Amino acid sequence: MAESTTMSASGTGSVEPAPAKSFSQRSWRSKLRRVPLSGWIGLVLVGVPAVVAIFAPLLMPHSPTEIDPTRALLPPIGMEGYQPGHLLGTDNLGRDLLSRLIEGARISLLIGVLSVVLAGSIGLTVGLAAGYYSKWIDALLMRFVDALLAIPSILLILVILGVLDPGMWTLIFVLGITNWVIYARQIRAEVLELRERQFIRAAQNFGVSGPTILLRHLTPNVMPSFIVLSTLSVATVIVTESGLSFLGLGVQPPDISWGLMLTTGRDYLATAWWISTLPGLAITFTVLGILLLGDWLRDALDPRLAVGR
Amino acid sequence: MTELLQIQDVRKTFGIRSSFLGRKKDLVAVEGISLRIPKGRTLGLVGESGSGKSTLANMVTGMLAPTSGQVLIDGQPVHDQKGKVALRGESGAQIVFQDPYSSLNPRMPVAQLLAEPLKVAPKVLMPEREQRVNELLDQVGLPRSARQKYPHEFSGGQRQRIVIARALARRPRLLVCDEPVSALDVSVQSQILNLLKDLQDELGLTYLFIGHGLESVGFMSDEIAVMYLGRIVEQGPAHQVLADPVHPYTQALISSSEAIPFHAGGTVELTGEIPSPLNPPSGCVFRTRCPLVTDICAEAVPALTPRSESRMAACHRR
Repeated sequence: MAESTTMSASGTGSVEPAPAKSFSQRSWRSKLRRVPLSGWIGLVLVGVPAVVAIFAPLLMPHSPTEIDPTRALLPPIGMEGYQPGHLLGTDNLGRDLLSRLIEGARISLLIGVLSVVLAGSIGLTVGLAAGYYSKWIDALLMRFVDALLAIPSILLILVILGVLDPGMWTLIFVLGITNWVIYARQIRAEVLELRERQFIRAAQNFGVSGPTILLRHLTPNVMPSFIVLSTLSVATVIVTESGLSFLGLGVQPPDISWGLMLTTGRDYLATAWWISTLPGLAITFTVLGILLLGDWLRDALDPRLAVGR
Repeated sequence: MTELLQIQDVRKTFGIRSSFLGRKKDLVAVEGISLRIPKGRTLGLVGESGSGKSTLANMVTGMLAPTSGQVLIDGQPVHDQKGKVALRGESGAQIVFQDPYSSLNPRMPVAQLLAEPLKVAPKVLMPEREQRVNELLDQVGLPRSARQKYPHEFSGGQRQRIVIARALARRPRLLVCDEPVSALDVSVQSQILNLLKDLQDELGLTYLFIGHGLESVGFMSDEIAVMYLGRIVEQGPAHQVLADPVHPYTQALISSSEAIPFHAGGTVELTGEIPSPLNPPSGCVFRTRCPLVTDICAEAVPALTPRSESRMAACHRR
């Protein structure tokens, strides 16, 4: 059996050889050791805001909504006019910026993650169904997707926000139901290709039912692009949220989000740049972290890339 | 001897619309084929791509329903009245695909791949399932340590062993091998063919073995059927067909193959391509490429007639 030499060569000698362990056999510790640097950076960049968001009430030095006109527009540490107690300075109403950033992390991350979860699960379901099932289910679902795509999403968001009361939950709902179409299209396209592969035909031949094929065979194989799309969407959603907050349709004061902070500081860009720059940086680094984390996750879930190095 | 597989006058057409508003045309993929394979034997099916071999294979496994005629496995029809698959698991046929790279889900370890057919009703439950997976690995000559590995960790030949093991999981009696070695290196091909032969002896399997080369088919088969454009043009015991082909198409196939010496009447070369099944030639479908074509070939379809005790051919020449 000459062809098996490649495999048995890794474990030489003894009765029960210990060959290079495959992905699923490795311990969690050795899996962690294989996390690349970019994965660690991503983990930190996402982990810090996430932990901060969870423990927000414990970490805030001041109340994020407490107004004090006598302490307005104080600069952050290291600049002239810095006052101890306000590490990152204050905004135009004298509210502590650090406390506001911490409180804003909660809503911004919640909106980003939950709306992507909503959009992703609708999109995944529709995409799988449209790609796998009969032609007319595909046609029906995809024409609906086309119709949705034909309406500019910002217009759709404005209409829905005009009907529903603005606020965090409305925002999550709106961003979720306007973003699922990109998932649906991408996943349908991949399913169309995968469904012709012989392993799907083999499963059908064994009598495996449609839903089981969707779950067991198709879903794991569309996961890489699903993860990439999701991480990209978290980024866009956080940015869209700031745009909507700017229009007054997003998060409503006294709730705080990074997007809202970004827009309140715009009048003071020339004199007190930190009011919008700091939440801007927070958004940038979090989004970067999510992208890096997604990249690593995609590779880690692929047995072809995870083994043999 | 009893027949395990009976193919009775099976015909398969596909409706094809050539343009958006065009009329639907019938593409005849398989035209009135009858075959039978006795238990424990191998029938080799040879032909170029586009000759309808795979369509026939799909009808045997149940993936496609014949337009007319029927396929019986051990006397039971593969399809019910509505064209749905009626035979599954051990009573139906299993298939070994051509490409071992695309026929295994890249995200499943071997143990899971082999267990999948066992999870379909009637389910084989856990301790027995585990045992069966080990048994299958032994049967195809893979180490037990393969259980937790993923398909990409194996070579093409090993993957094909996994595919064969998976096809055997439900203990089918009939295995359709759809060009099982044509995607493999030459050095590995004979190992897989030998494995299939050993399994046949050990388990009493019956094979429908499809190939486009005569070497592997000749090695595997007791009987050979040669297909051209959806029809069988010649059929008979393997050694007789290879040594003394009757039909000019078989002659051409054999003379194009280097491994089989061909002496009867010098070499026959084929020119051109297989015609479109949407627009088959009148009369004998092979006449456009036949070196021995005569007037009658364009007029009448030659019937598959007996040529000797055990052989049949469809050609006007006697």
